[in-house]
Amino acid sequence: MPNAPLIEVKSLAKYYEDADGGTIKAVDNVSMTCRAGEIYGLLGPNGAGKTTTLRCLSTVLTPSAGTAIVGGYSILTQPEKVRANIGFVSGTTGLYARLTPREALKFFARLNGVPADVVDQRVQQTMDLFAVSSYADRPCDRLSTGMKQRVGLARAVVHDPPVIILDEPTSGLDPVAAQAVEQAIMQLRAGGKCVLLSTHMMYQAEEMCDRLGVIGDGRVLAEGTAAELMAQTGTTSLRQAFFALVGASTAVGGSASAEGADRAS
Amino acid sequence: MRLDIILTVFRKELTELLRDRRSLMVMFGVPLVVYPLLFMAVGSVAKGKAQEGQQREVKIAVHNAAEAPALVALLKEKERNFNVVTGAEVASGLEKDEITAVIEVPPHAEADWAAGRDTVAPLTLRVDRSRSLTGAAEDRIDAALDAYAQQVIRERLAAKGMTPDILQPIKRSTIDIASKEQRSGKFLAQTVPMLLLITGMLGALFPALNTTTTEKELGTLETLLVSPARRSDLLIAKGLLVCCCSLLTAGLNMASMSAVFLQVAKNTAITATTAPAASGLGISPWLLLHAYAAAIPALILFSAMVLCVGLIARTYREASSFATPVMMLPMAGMIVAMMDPPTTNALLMTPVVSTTLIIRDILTSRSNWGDFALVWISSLAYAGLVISMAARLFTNEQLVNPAWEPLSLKGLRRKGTVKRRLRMPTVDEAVVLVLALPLVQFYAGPWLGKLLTDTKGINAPLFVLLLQLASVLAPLLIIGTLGRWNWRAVLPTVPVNPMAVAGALLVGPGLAAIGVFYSLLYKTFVHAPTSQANTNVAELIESSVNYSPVVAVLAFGVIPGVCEELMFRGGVLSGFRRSLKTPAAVIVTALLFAAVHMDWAGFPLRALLGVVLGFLVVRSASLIPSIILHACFNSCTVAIAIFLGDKLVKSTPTGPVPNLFGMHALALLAVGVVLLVLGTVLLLGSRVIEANGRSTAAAL
Repeated sequence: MPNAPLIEVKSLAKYYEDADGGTIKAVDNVSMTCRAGEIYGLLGPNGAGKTTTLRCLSTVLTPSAGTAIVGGYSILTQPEKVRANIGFVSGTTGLYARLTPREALKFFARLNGVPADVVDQRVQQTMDLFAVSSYADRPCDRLSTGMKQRVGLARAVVHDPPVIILDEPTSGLDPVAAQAVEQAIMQLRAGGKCVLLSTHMMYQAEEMCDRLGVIGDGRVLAEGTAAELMAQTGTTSLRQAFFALVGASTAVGGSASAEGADRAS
Repeated sequence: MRLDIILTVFRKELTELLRDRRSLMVMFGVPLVVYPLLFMAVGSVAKGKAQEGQQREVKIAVHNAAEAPALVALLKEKERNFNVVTGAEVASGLEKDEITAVIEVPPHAEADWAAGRDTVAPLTLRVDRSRSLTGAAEDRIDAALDAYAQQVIRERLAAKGMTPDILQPIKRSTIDIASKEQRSGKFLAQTVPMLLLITGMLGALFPALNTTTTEKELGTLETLLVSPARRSDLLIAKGLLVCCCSLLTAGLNMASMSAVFLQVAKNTAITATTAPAASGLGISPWLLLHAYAAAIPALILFSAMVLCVGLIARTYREASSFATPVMMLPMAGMIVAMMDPPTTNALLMTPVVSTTLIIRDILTSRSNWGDFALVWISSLAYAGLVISMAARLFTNEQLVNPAWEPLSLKGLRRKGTVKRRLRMPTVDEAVVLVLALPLVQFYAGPWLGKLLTDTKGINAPLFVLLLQLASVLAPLLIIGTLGRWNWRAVLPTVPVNPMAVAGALLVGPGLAAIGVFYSLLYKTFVHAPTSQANTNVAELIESSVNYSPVVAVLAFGVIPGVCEELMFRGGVLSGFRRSLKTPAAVIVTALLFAAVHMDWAGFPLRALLGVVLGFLVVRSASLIPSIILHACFNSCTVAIAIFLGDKLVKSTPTGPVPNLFGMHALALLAVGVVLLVLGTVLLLGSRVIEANGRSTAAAL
């Protein structure tokens, strides 16, 4: 492995208190690493703890236990530095309806401390990279869902962060729009970014990710390339391997915790 | 805090707001277009009607006119402007709206009236009050009939050889000393507070929801939160925008409405249709500006409140329903304006109500700067508490995870405090304690006083005890219990350092003696009236001295000493020490301690006392020495007043004046200085106790 790890997650855990005073373990002892120029896929069913993990890494949530180093900074002690070094997009992040893509990108460039004299240049470069220049001056609420998600990606990387965290970035998109987003992500990898991607789509995991971590019930059930996972479970497709891993975990973990994890996602 | 981040976010919020037609309509449309149009329309219609009613010729019919020729002649006088008909069309004219009124004269009327016989049937006036011009016409006919009645009386008196003066036992006239401005102010005082508060709230509402709830719903809040900007900076930018919108909307509305009002006042003054406007209405822009300034803290409070609503709500719909009760708050102001109560300190500390009252007083030129300061400071303190609540909501994890749990008070808990551990007070809890003290005293004081007037003798000490329990100890216990304070750390009583105690026993009386001399000095050179608070205390002490001087000294010395120390040097100081450096926390606590006594003359003295007490607590890590010092100070002050009071004044023809250079006063000063110096030496020599219980010999 030539590149240094840019994301190192060490025994990360996030617990919630439920209404009856019990504890829900949304994320339970997750460890993993991701390097520059690599796409690491977090593969798991809904409610497995993918979103909570990624939100902990983006410092929006504070972990109950464990820690992580992102872009060289600790999420516990230097959260502002961490946020300056990541780009974050999820299926639920949105755009300001009354701003144009150009204005939104400029705003986030300034917010991320891009020097004032290079903001315009940086914004134009990013828009060209994601092919959003043709509608750069149209208000965002008049863009299609696919256009919006591409602008969203551009928005997240306008300050050129080394680490990019993507939480199901293609959810709700049709295959054509999803493909455009996927191509953009591959471009980011080619540019040497460290990409952490959560998904529950097998084809994305198989085609895009260099390594995969299968998550279920808040724990990492298995880690490796798609081929390694298939070998590990003795199956012939990633789909089968996934069901073998997740099915086993669901049988072990009781219904109560599964329900809790559901609510936490 | 990073100014560039705040400015960037503020500019973004402003751009969005300026593209939102609905918010702009509320902020600019209503005051700049709707009010002037509405008022001008109403004004011109009303003016037209009034002029029409006053000046138009009114057609009236007199039935049986032959029986009252003098009346008809009076009605036909030219300046009365009646068109009097006496023909046969009388019967149906009223129904057809050809005639405004019909006067039916009974048979033999004028002859009977002149002779003073009251057996005749009454004179009847028929009108149709459903018609718009009837009111004004009726008033004019009534005036004519009254004039006629006077004429009849004069004739009867003349027939009996008497002058009409006999009917006027006294001559009287009423002169309204209210200035033109005060009369206008009284009218404006009923509308301006409500206008400012309601429009200010409305102006804040849409921007607040746009910058919070809408951002949550669109998923843009998450993109802001994963930027390097600090949450506090984001909240400041958003709060600033909401506040600006609120202030701007209220200001525009007030300016627009005042302009329209002055225009209408000018018009009505010419025609003089309404009684109070007879000598004209007018108000200086300075008074209006002053009233607006008085509303600023309340508008900040409202901005913080709607911001909280936006942060709590998960969707715009939820926000709208949460906002409804908050929107009712300015109505409280309206109710108060209608009841028009006298200004009391209790009301001046009650949020929203205080703003309504101070604006009323300002507009009627009855306010003073002390009241203004009380309203400003208390309203700002309330606003600060709500802002701190907004900050807690904004730093809470629940903010971006609305699906986990519905709205609950858990959202107010600080980030990461899932485990319920005992803790130290927070700054906002300290502020609540300081606010509660005067508020409870203002409200409960008069009530308790009334309750205790029946019990003889012991009532004054009992009053002090109950009031201290209610205003100092009860809030402390309630807030501390709810907040799960670590009482042992908040109210430390061990270890007791004998040298510190001895020092406190000397410094307390020393400061008291110097304090009495200081008040003599103050009374000699500053001829200010004694503050209300001091007068009240003096009356209480006097009433209990008659019962027993010893009980008086103990009650007024020990009870407040103990209670105030537990609160100020316990709860409040611990709260401020959490976020300020210790010297700053001691000074802030001392200033607040001096301020809540509501006695500006004694402010420097009490502030000094507060600083000494604060450092004593920090130094000895225990409340015992400070309680002793405070109790000694109070008791000695009371004792000097009781036993030496008459020796410190000399009588002059105009009444007793302070005898500053008398033997007793100078002796008091000398004793005070000696005690203070000795006590300070002892205090400084006592060992410093660290918070963890270890002692060192180092000086403070």
